[in-house]
Amino acid sequence: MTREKKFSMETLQDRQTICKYLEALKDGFQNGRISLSNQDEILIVEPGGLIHFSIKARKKDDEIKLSINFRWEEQD
Amino acid sequence: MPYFHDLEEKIRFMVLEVSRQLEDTLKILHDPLPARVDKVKLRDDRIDNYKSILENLCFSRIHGQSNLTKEKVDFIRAVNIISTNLERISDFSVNIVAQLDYLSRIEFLHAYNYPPFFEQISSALEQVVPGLFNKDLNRALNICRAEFMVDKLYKRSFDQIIEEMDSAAGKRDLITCLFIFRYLERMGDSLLNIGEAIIFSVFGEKLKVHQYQALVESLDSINNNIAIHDVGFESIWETRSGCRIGKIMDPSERSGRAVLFKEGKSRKIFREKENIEAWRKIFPSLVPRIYSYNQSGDNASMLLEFLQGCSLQETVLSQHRETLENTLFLLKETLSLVWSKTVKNTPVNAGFISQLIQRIDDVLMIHPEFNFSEVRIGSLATPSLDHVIKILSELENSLGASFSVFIHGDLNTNNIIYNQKEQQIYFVDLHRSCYGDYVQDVSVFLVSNYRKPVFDAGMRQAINHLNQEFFSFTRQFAAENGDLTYDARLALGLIRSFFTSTRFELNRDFALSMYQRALYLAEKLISHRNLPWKDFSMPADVFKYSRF
Repeated sequence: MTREKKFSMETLQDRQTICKYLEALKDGFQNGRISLSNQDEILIVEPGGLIHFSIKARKKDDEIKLSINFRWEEQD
Repeated sequence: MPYFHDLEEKIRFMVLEVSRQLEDTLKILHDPLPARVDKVKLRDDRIDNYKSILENLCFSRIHGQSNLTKEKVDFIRAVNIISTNLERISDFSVNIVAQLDYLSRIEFLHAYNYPPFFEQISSALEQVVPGLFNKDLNRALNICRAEFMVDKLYKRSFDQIIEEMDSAAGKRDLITCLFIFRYLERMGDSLLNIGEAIIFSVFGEKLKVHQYQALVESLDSINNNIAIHDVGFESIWETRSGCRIGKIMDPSERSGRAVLFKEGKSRKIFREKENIEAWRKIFPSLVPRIYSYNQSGDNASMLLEFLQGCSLQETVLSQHRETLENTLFLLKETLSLVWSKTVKNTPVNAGFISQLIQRIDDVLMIHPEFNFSEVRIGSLATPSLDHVIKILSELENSLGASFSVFIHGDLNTNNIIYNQKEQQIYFVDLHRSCYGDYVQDVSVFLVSNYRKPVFDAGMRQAINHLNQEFFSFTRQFAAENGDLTYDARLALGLIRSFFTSTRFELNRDFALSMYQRALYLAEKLISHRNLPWKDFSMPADVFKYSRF
């Protein structure tokens, strides 16, 4: 069984700084390679082929949640 | 008090048994007869038994009766503490006797002056019963003093043994003797607990003997004629920094005149005294009067005017909008006056990040997950915590205030008292006051509001409103005084206060929200570091609580 690799990050941003993260992800998709790393783990993902892409939004009172999700299978 | 008859009887017997235990231990040190040694061991079992019986009696009395007065409950608690410590003294006797097996010959011990230890301890034990039953503070103090005397005796024996350790012979015997003296010294510690338990049963408050003495001296120094027995002492809080603060009521005054008693490390109390005096020159009605100041060794105490009113924190939590608006109005007026009156053209750097660094270990001990490494997402890299702090420290050097004012130094909402009747606010807890950067007070104030663990929407709205109003007021003061780097310094101050406040917050989500705010501001400052600070704009939402 292969070891599961995980990367996660939780921060507080504003519109301006969110754009920097989206830019970084956009560049990754363009190049077909996104490296995600911290001290414990380096996770390199290579989006390719068909990618399942979903956007979900929810608005409840003044609380808004927007989830963006990408899923794909690793290419041989 | 017939109700306590069995309790009284048992504690009397227990004291007698422990006194005999001590007498026999002394006899054994002179001449270790095996029969006497057995007697000490057997008596220890009996004393243990007394302790268990008393513990059962104490707990069943407290829990079995719903109509016990506080005075009775305090008496029971004191009896329980005393019996625990009496049992310890008996245990130490057994420990001492057991040590004799390790001595090559008993005469070795006779070279040392051990009888005075026993005299001190025995004479203190004689005072336990009359001290407890007559609420006799002098006897309680004598018991406490025995610990001091025993410590002195121990020091003498200790020095003698250490000196003799240099000579080659009898090291094993020397160490055994040292252990014996050490057990005697620990008997002294137990006596101190017993003396303080009696003080507790009289006052109904846990007071260390040095705090009690400081209280007596303070009251004496203001020519107070009240007998110390009659003084009502109500502990207000023990601050995180270890000061003891109590409200003292004078029973002779019908209106219940109260004074505030503050005791702690002399460095801190003295600084507060100096600061209050400085405040009284600037704004006399803002701070309490000092009635007395006493210093004794490393500790000092003060009697202060007890200021009537409720803290701004209580006002916020009461959700009384009008009172809150009044307090805020008075606070803004007061700060405007103080800042304008004390402004000096002396540049000052608050050193927010140095303050943060001093507390970082405490934060990471509670929240180790806050210590993050560098994170990379493709080409975007965010620095590690260490690196963030390093950059902030560097940029802070060039970010001082161009003028200084006299600041409170710890302007959290607990330290602002509002008196509705007098329409007056007061500042308390002034040991950090100094000429400094007013942004220190602003950031502490904003975060002290934010970090209140209340999540009710209405209350949060009130807190957000208070913060927004206070922020607008201080920003306007900055603009009027040509303070171009106010926003950037406030960001530094908020980073410091948000980050360090997490060390008191175990609710992970709430702590995380403060921590993330600190990091968000850090990121904003770091990305602005090559641009003029006057162009940095404080994101105002940052001290508003949101539910995620």
